[in-house]
Amino acid sequence: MPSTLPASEAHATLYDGRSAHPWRVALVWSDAALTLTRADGEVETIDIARLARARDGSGQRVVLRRTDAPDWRLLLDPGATLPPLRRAAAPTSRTASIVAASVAATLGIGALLWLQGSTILEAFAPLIPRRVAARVGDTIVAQLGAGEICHTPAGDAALARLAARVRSQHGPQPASVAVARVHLVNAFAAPGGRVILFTGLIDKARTPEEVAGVIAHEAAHVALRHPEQAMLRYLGLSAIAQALGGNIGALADLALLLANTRAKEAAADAGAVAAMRAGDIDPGALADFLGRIDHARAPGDRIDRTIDRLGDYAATHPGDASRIVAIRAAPRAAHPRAALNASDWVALRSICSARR
Amino acid sequence: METANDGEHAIVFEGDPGPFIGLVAKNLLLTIITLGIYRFWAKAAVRRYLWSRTRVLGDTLEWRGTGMQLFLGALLAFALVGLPFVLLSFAFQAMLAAKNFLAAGLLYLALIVGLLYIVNVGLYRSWRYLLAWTSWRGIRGGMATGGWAYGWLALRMTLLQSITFGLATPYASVRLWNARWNDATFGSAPFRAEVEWKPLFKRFWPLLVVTIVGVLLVEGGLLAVVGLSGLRPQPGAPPHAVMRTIGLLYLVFAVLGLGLSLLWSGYIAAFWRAAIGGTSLGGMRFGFEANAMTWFRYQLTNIAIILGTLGLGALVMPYRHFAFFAARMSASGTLDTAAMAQTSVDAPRQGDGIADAFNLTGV
Repeated sequence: MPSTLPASEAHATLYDGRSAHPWRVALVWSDAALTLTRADGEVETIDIARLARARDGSGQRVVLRRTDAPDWRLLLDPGATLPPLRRAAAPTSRTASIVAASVAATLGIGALLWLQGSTILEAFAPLIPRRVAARVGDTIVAQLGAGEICHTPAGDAALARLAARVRSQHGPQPASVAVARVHLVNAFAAPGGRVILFTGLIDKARTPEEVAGVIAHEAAHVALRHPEQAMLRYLGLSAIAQALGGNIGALADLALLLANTRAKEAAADAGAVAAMRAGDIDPGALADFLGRIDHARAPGDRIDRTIDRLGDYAATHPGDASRIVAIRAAPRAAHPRAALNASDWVALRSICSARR
Repeated sequence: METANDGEHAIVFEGDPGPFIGLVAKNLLLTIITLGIYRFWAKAAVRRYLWSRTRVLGDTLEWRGTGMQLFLGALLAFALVGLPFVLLSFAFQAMLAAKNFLAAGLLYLALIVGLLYIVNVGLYRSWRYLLAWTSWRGIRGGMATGGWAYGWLALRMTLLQSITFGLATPYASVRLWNARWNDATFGSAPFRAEVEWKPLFKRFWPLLVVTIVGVLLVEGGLLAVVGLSGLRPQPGAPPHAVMRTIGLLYLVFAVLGLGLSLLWSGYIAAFWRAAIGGTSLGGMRFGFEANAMTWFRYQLTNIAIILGTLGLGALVMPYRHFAFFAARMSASGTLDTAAMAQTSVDAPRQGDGIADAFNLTGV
């Protein structure tokens, strides 16, 4: 076949994009056009502005593509000269611009969420109907294995009296405060306003004031709608981060969550201090309790991990001495009174002792 | 008319590990600093590299898909599949919490069946995407349908496999292989898959029996040995006696595991030989050569690479798969390239978001 080609400096193999047949062609370049002459005599002239180098070939041959015919390929023979193409698609600059754009977009969205993420969540959390939030909350309670709530008439009455002493100053009050038979030192507030204390926490507390502190802290989470915000975050932001960012996106989301959790815990502590002082209970009791469980905590339990992942629900976050310092720095209660009388305290401590 | 009588040299992979590792390292770095978003473009770059180093009848493949397509595919999969699934599984938990067990059970069944269906449709669409944006000599491939019927077939085959306790596996995998390759085209040339399941079944059922009997024997034997002999650590036994028992257990399970893997490697290699050997494009037949030992060594090396690099080695697995298969694939017969016209199937504009989300595509 090559013998029938017209004399020319350069040859190439043409794939015209219509069939897989390799056409041997002779090339003639001019300033504005490339003329291809096929072995069967057919001649085609292509505007040089429509030619570009194809991306990322194996590098063994120069491959040209046409901007107006995506399937067209011209494989130049080794040694064929190539005039400067006006629109030489530089793969590096294209890759660089994709990277730059995605880095900028990621940083932009990241910065927005970092700085304004809680504002967005705060704005949307009150829009969730309480009924829906309560449904989700009940589900989380059941998922945590905290479904078995302990009841005794005397214990329920004691718990109600304790909760009434530390009512939030503003915002919604807890829908209920209850003790679940789980032997972990932890407590959480679920969407919809259910506050659950674990038996492990009741056992660990030395005074009713310490339990009152934990209830006040959880009630402050409820008043600030933190559980609803966590729910939005979990179903929205985290899901998107993991869908698009994969494992690394999930890690980034976790970092954001932890940073945000710290601020929410501090806000809940402040609310707890205010509620305790208003209820004539010394806020120091909460600090005492947090200081003690810090040492006793054994990490790694599944339920603890779930609560930690949901972040905002948890009362007991490990190793944050600054929280204790901040609580101790608050003014003490002016006229402290016992949070519960002795018989109520016994009733609360034995709320889960009754046989099922 | 072109003949592929150069057999083993019809399909050649000419990759170079050095530049590929460089590409993978760059991808990893960019993926980290973009908090994961770059991984779609990373995947496209890996495909571009592997395709461009793969030569079929003398000409390289070209990957024409883009990272943006994969990104859009992931967005779509998230909105259409991921989000509804998260909400439905939450509804399932809520039904459990409300002790509505009948509704929860029905929803659970629907979720499992739905997920199985959607994942198989997603797999089909990921092959369609791979074929549609693979170009060779300016010609692209495609799949005839959107995969909805294939999803049902896969569902029926899974059901068949479970009610036959796995015995129908060769039939099911051959049926699915034939179904998807008979839908596939390259340009105007159709792929044809006429793989037979019976020869594979003859190899399969003795293996299944050997596996079940072997596991039962070893477990029973262990219980007897550990329970009756002095190997059972006595209360207050010195630590080395306990260690000896544990060591023995590990040794027995390692030997059993390796032995069974070697036996199963024989079946897997036979499956690939039969599947690729029963598939053709136009008049060009494909072939694949690998025996039990080849497959076993290949898998063992892969595991060693991944473990030895603390998981980072998983990033070079696409390269290894390409090199492994290209080195052992052959083609014979003729392919009428002049008559092979451009595909008439429209190429999808988005990537394989669903299969991608479950990390099901090898490359």
